[in-house]
Amino acid sequence: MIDKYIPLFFHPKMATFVDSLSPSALKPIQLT
Amino acid sequence: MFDIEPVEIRDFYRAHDPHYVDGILASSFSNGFGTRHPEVALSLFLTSGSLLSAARWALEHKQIACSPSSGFRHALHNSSSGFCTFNGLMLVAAKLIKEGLVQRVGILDLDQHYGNGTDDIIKHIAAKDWIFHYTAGLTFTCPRQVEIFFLFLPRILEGMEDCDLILYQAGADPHVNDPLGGWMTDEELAQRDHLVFQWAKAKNKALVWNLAGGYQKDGQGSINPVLQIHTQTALAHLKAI
Repeated sequence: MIDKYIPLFFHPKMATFVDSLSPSALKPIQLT
Repeated sequence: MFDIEPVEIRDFYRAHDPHYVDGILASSFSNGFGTRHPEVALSLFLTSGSLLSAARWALEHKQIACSPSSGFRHALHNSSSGFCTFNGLMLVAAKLIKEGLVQRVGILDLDQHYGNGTDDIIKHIAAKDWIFHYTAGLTFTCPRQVEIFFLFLPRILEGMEDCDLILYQAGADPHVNDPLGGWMTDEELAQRDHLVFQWAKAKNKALVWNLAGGYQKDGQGSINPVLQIHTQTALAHLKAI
């Protein structure tokens, strides 16, 4: 019996694929 | 899993320059991944929609909910940045304010990096009176600061007591092994999450957590190390309720 659960709000089309990343997007974030 | 209410185009306009929004949705401008893939544009209605739906549930039940979304906090008013295209945090907060469901929203950003996009939008849409934005990445970056962080975090949470809704960015990239981060251990990240969730539970706060950053890979190239940190956050959530 489940007495605890996490309310999770997900749709499969939320996900995009890491393979689609452009190399230019992989630069570190500027810390300012 | 719960159903998602996708956001509408006009919701993106609440936080972003309409010219920028239209350009992203038409694949004329580069998204946060540096591409113009239409499937990324379509996903944006659902990632912010996940956060919105989780926030509505959390407000209704005065409890903690999870939106397994990311890609919000670096998105600027009129451009993408650092894997982020539209700032779901700000547009969801602005929508709920407009609907009168909240008067004040806390954005608790415990990712490794400065939430520059959120600050930029707060400035552009004059939101500082109804947003409490805390971004740890401005201050905490190295292991010797951990002790101070845990002394400071309860004060930040106290500052959010008058917020109707908390949006918690439970970033995985502060982990010591993260290639873009590196100042907290597994145990310290677990303590971070424990403190946040226990506080929300004790105060009956509506809180939504999402994923934010995390860039580790294991020897096989999988993202399992990041997933383990998110799992740890989920376990802290369960422990608090």
